[in-house]
Amino acid sequence: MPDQLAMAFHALQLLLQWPRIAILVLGVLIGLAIGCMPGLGGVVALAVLIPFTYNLDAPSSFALLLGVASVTTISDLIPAVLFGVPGTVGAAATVIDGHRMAEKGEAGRAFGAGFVAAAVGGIFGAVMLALMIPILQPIMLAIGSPELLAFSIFGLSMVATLSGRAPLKGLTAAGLGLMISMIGSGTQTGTLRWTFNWLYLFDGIPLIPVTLGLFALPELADLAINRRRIASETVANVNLANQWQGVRDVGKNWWLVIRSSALGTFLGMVPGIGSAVIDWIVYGYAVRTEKRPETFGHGDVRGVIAPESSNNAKEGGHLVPTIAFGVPAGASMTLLLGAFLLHGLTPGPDMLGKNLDVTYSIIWSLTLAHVLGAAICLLFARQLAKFAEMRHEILLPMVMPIVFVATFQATRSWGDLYFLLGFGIVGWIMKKLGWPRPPMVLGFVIGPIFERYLFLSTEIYGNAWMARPVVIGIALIIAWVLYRPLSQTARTLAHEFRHLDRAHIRLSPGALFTLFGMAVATAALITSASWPIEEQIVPRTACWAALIAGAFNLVTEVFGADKPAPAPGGHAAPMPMGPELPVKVTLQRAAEFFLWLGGLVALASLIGFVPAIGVFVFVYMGIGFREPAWRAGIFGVAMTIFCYALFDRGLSVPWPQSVLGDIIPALRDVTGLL
Amino acid sequence: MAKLHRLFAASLVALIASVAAWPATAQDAVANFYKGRSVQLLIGVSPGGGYDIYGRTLARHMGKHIPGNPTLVPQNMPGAGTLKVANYIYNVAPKDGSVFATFARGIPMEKLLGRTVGVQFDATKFTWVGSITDEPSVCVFMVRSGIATWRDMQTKQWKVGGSGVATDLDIYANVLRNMFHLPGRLVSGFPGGQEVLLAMQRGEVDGRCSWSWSSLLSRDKFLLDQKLVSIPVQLGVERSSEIPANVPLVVDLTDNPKEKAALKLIFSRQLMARPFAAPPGIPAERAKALRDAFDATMKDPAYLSEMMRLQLEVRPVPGARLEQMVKEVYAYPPDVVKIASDAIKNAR
Repeated sequence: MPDQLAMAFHALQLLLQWPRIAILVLGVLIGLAIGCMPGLGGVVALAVLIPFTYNLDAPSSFALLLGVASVTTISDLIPAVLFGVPGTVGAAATVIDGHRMAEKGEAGRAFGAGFVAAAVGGIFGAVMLALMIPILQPIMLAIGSPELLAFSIFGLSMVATLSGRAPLKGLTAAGLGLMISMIGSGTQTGTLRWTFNWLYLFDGIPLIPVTLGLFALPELADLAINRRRIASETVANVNLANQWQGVRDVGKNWWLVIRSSALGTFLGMVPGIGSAVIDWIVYGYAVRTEKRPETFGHGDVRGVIAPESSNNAKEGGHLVPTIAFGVPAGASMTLLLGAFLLHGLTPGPDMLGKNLDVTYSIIWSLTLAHVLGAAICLLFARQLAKFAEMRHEILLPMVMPIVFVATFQATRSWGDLYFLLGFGIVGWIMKKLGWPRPPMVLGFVIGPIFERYLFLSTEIYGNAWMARPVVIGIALIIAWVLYRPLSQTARTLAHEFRHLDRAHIRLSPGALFTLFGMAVATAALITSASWPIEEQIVPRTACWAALIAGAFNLVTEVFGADKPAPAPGGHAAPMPMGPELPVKVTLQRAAEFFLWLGGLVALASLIGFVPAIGVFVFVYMGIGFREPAWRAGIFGVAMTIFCYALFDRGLSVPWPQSVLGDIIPALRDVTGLL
Repeated sequence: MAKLHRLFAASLVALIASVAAWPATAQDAVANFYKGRSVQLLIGVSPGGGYDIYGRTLARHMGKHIPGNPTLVPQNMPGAGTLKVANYIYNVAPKDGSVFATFARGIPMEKLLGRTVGVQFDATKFTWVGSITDEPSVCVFMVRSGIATWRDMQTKQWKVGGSGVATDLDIYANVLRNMFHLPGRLVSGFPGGQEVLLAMQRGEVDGRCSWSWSSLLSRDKFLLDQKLVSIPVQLGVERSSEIPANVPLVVDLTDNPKEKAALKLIFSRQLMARPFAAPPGIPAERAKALRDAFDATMKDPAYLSEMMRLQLEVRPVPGARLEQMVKEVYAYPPDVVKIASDAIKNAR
């Protein structure tokens, strides 16, 4: 042990040496900037930076890479609070209470609480990793397929809590999410499930279009519909005093911070469970375990603290299987493994022996990055809040192309954009109709993991997998998580069904949307009937779940009493947005918004991506929002240059071929963009 | 609005002017073509992982060996187990030598072995540039599983891990089970080879077929050093000098000439372990330039020392050899192809 301590301090000294510490700071700054941009996260940043580490030594490389990777989930809070648009996939849960706080004029408090909770979570994860080093290998060997299956069921069980008071809608959404996640080639026989011979779907729909569609586009759409500044008073309210109030909130809720961080670390160790769901699981866990859960969803600071601390703690958890066995726990870790290989480091026993100093330098980088990231965010929060003062006429044309190209660079396919738009429309309707969106993401992310380990567990252990001690322990926790929401649900449903008004048939928008969901599930059931049995089990179970829950929901929609139930923690509570707009205006403006986005996609296929961005910003500002041409022009050019620099030079995105490039190949030759 | 119109008109004029000002690039000499140009090297997988690293290191060194010294820009175009990139360079990419790509070694055989959905190319027509290695591959079993020799694999029960029907882990395991009627099982669905290795150490499965010999040595040598694993069979068409001589080669395990041919068909992909190919029909002199540059890079001391540092194998196979091999494979008689395509199927 003394040896390990000495080694740990030696690693810290190495890291603090010039220029390593400067490299770390640089990484942190890049990471913070990327985290602010909706759709861009740590994975993107790592992909850009790894080539630059060729000429650095190992500790410097990891200082840079972990500096970037670990702070994107700190600064993603900023757009989440200010605009309600999550900066990375991991900030979606923070939006619920964080954005609500900003609307109440408590942006400063949300920042203070969020940044500090994030830093504490990050440090917690790093410390856990450090403490686990001597036992990393035994821990990983003890977690087999059955345990991973149990973890994924635990994640799915949070659907109950996250559906709030709309359990039927939540279950329908979860079923549909799980069903959608089954698209692609099956793991057991390679059967192509719901791919319609479209190559893009062979790998399934990627995460980014789904999460951005469900969580970012609806907020942007509402911004375009309500046409008002986020909240002018938020800016005045970000100062050190009210940030300090947020910091004190973290202190007051220290036990929640610890529990959320611990849960984040452990979930982070499960390959496949990343920040897109950890924030929701922990949010649901907080709602389930905290006293006075009814204030969640209405600007409760605990709704910021819990997801922020867990999401930053997960990085330490992610590193456990990566360092100990070279098994990447997430997309960012796959890249980090690439960096290991570049430096001739082999994950496994060497990292815990011969190269222990590198392992410790990784842990220190993680810790310092979180401290630095949080400190910088706290110091500059006041300046960053100024973005909220930006008028929507300028903000929207700037943010939309970033979301758009960020989505495209995920798998570099047109399909990404179609699904971004599709999920955007579905997400907006869900938001308006009080459908909880988190269950859909949970089903979507956890579905494939659940299916994978269900088969592995039963293939390897038969039914004995259920008798393993860890599995039994997790099963008890799941029962405890489910008990209260389920009994509550049963009671409210019984009540609702007793009070059905069979005389009144109302074909409300809610009923129509339910019918739409049921139609999709039915079509999916019909088209999957001929698959081999092992490829049917999970997808068809999901379809049936969606169909049955949907049918019950339809009954309550058609015959139920009028009462739009707010769903605490369900992210479904309609935001009080000042004076309500007439439905017709809302629909018209929503249609306009999505048509503009569709137009952007069409334009990109006509004249190429980068030119389309310039033209789009120019036209959207100039015609859509009637800004003066000079201003629209300046912003158009600036955005074009920005996107060219970031995505073409930085990320070397291979641009799809456009019609214009086909007509005039010389243009394509010269620019390489068409 | 009037202002807008003026602005549009002005930008259009500027655009046309700038295009006209560029000199025509259609010149005969290869160097003139490549001079000042960016050559795309498309990588069919996401960043990180073997194919990506092999692609990126090649991109860093190959440019200086192409006449005119173009800049090589590696770009990731993941999708459908690299099928997307293969389709792309065959059908969409410009056929002028400014684009080439790397994809999974099994991709050229897909169509032959019965996969038709989504395959939009004729593998014999690619302009094969070369392969960086011809990796021998092996079956690896934990010693405690009691499977040490080929005889054990034939007589005892065993379980190997797999990660999806289209991967070598599944294909090779199925070929062995089906062709030699072995009493083993394949447990598929692990995310990748590393996860299978972890499952081996946990005792969830007994081993894996296959594992590339070079990555076994570079990443998990301790397993050999501590005698934790044994190697009952090597998978390939030629015996490797690095693998212990008492480990039998899979194609020598049958006397039936048709089965032997079918095994050769399947395992020949190990010869093109890290393949690079350009679109079909690019000008002959540029195809030659790419192949020559590839071969020269494989002898470039700077490249070799970098690969050494990364512990990556370099045992190059020239493009002409790849082309010949793919043509040979596609010329096999139908009954041999039938044996091979039946053998890769998963029989539970």
